[in-house]
Amino acid sequence: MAEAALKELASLEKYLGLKKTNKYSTKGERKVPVLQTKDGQDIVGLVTIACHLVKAAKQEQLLGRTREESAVVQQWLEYRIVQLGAPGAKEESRSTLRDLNEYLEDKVYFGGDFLSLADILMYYGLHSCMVDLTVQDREKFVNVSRWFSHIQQLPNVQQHLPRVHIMKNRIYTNVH
Amino acid sequence: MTKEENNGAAEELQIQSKKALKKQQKEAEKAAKKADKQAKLAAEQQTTSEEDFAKDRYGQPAMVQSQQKPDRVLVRIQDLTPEKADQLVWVRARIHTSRAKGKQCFLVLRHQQFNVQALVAVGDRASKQMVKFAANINKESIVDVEGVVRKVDQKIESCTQQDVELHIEKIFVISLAEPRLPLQLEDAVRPDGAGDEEGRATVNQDTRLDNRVIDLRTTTSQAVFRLQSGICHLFRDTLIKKGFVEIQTPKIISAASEGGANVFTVSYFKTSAYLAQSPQLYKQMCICADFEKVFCIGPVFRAEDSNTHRHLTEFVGLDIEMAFNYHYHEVVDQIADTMVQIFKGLRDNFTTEIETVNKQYPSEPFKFLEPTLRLEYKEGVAMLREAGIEMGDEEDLSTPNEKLLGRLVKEKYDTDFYILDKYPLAVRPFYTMPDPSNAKYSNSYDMFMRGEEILSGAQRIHDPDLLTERAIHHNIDLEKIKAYIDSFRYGAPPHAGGGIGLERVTMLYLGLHNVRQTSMFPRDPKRLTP
Amino acid sequence: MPMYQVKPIGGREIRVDLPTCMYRLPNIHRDDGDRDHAFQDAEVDPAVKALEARQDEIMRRLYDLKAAVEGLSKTITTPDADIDVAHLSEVVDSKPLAGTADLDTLLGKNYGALRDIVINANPSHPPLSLLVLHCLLRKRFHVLSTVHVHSSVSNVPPHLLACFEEQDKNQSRHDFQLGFTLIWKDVPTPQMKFSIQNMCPIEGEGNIARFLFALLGQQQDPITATLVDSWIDMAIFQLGQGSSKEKVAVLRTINAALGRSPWLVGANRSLADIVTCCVVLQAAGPVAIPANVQKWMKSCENLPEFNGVYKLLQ
Repeated sequence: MAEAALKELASLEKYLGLKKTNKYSTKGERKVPVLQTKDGQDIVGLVTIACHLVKAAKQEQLLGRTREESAVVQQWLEYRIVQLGAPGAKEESRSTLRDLNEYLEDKVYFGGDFLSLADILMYYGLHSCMVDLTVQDREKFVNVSRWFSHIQQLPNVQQHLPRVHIMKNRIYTNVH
Repeated sequence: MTKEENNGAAEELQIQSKKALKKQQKEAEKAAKKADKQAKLAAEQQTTSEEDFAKDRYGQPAMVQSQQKPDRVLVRIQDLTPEKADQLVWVRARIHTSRAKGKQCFLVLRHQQFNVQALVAVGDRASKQMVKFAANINKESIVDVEGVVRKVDQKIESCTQQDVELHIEKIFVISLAEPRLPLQLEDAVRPDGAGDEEGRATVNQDTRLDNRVIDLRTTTSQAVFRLQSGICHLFRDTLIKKGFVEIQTPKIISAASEGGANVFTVSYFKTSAYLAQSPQLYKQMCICADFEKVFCIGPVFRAEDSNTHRHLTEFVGLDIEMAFNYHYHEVVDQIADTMVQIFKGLRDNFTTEIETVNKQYPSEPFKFLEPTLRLEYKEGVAMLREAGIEMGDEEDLSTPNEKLLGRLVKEKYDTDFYILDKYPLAVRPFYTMPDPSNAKYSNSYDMFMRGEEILSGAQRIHDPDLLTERAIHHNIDLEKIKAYIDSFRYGAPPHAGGGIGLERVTMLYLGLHNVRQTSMFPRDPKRLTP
Repeated sequence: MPMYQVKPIGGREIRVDLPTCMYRLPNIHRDDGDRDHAFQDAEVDPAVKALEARQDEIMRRLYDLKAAVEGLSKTITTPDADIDVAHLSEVVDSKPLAGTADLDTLLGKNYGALRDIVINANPSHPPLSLLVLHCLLRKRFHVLSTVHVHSSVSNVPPHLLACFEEQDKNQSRHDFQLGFTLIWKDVPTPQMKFSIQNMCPIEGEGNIARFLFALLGQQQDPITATLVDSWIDMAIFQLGQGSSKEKVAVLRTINAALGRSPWLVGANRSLADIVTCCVVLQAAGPVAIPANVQKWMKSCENLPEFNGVYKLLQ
């Protein structure tokens, strides 16, 4: 868990084009990631650090351009921590996927029509889950798969994660 | 009995427990009702005997004990067509449903998968009593009916004979069914899911199988087993035309034919014997005895304790073995063509059966190519890898991968039947002939229907020395297979073959989901009856 | 270890017929690859490279100018005429045929098995042009050709089942470079399936023909390619599916074009000739075929790749 979070932050740094100077550690039972800033202050928590990095890279548009947009982004960042980060998330992954599939039915990104930090962190968070899905399930959650495939093909997002194969054509269309 | 008498009886039995009391009361009531009914019936009969002008036109005649050979011609329900309009005909059928409505009674008469609407109405041919009699015949009873075929203005959607109905003039019960049926036929043919919405019942599989004799009367079962018979017939017909010889092989054998696992042991006088898991050894012996091309249709036993949708402990094997001249593809082509001929025969001659089954269990029509598509194992692995599946070159196909490959092949070639050739040697039995050009592969093949394996076959090693070498490589006790190896010592032609399961082929052709639906009296680890 | 530098064997720019129904996007994965190559090139000799690039740029501008001037002069002298593209195409320097068409670059990653092109076609309307292209493919690659009948059709005439020449039965499937699987099936238009994972089915004889032709590795300049495309569309849609009036009109156009040159586009037999000739063979029917067209069809018939088609029609 902790390892994954740190890797995720490292990948995010690379995506944002930041030079790797930040030092990370973890704390507590659930190994929450901690970022030690130069002036000795600790920034705690995956989402908090991620937002900090985005600002440090001067890519604030990833947090939403208007107040409304940033509210949506914040909401999905919270979802990422609460729903995908929680213990037992693996068991609930199917119902999570069902919900996300419904949500993404008419959206390109989690924010709607713009790429945000939420997409990147959701991508990192859902990766292990997508790897485990069978081809048939990937087709069943077609909207999630479509979004996932789109995000993983964006330049520099994929980083440390292996590419998940998403089929271009549906092959289970006629199955009863 | 009157109520007072009832009470009196109850007093006497006060010492008995309340439960027993209640039971008795109920029984007493029942008896009372029955008596009541009988009295009424008798009274009615009395009145009717006085005034029923139609009393010779209905009833329950003496049991057919072959007393007579009347010249009466019975018309089959499927032959009741508009051409027969206005003719007076005799029909033997079951009462499928009956619905009395005032002075008339509508019956649906059924024979096998065909049914027709019939009508008894009070008139100059039928009396009130006759209508009542017809309405009270238990469902599923067999009747002889004489009536006039009449064309109808509006198609009768619920019957197979949609353009005509039968106006009954005489009705006799030949065999009466019990009033209470263990399952309702309408429930048994209702498509899955349709019952839930309308609050109507569907019948679960165990109830069906426990009461198979009724379940088999449903249109769906009738169609399934007629089609199954067709498969057997087409298999036999095609192979005979190709010059094959049908052989019979023993089912009680002294040694386990394939390895020894999953074999049933039976007591055999002072010793024990086994039930044959496959006729392979005997097929091969027939080849060594110069029968050249043989096939056999017979039961095969597998003591596998697996309760899946596709495993039975006894099933019908359709087995082929054939000597070839130079290349085992000669055999593969023959087997594949036999399958194609079966599929074509079913497509062309069993349209109604397929449609009937589809009504209850909808599925895509079975598609195939002629000649059959033959892919190599390597290609299959490559297709899976392209789809993101990671697997080794010599790894066997797992069931999910097998199904996925089936979908991929279906999507690209649009066929539900294909052959996968050249399996890795490591995943095949010891008697499989290795590939001459690549020692990692073998001259073996599987055939698939709708992504499920139905046939596994290979060129068999016909050289005793190579066979011994391969057996040692597989750590097989040479003593146990001595007889098998010895059968090749006196000159054996190169040969190959394979076997399919009749039930599985029927199931997959129709796109059904359980092999028990296509086995008349299925045997699995949990079922030995009926 | 120091190695000697060789020029890339295959042309890096491969022309692929992209679907025209979508808008074109720049390749988003481009930057890495390009940077690498730029670096390599620089290693060869940056000064020469720069000089070459400058020369190319100047030449390109000169050609553009020349073409523009010529176009303008045309519109001035003949006010009604559009720019004569046929003439323009000769102006633009057409690249020599790229010798080695590497199947990997054309068809994507090889997973170690036969690459099988599946073509579904209706036996009532055999896709003749695809059979011609099949012949050309067989000259270039080691092709495994098979014919199947799908269960959706019955009674396929025997000559359609034997539309490919016999081939060596002793070789196993993986010895071949390319598979060409023709399935006679109840489909409204010919359909091609290649990689179901990465590529949608391709519909229509013309589009399949373009794909197969691209496998032959011939490079075309944009104008030639466009001319070929327009002939193909005209043949498939107007000549193949049009009214008899339309057919007559198209045949007249073809006749006129063939009056100026022995082939429809350029100096050699192109894809336009293959497709158009096949459609004429199949669709002209009762319509009289003009003289130039007849002569041109005779030339087509004499080409070895047309053998199979003529045999099929007899």
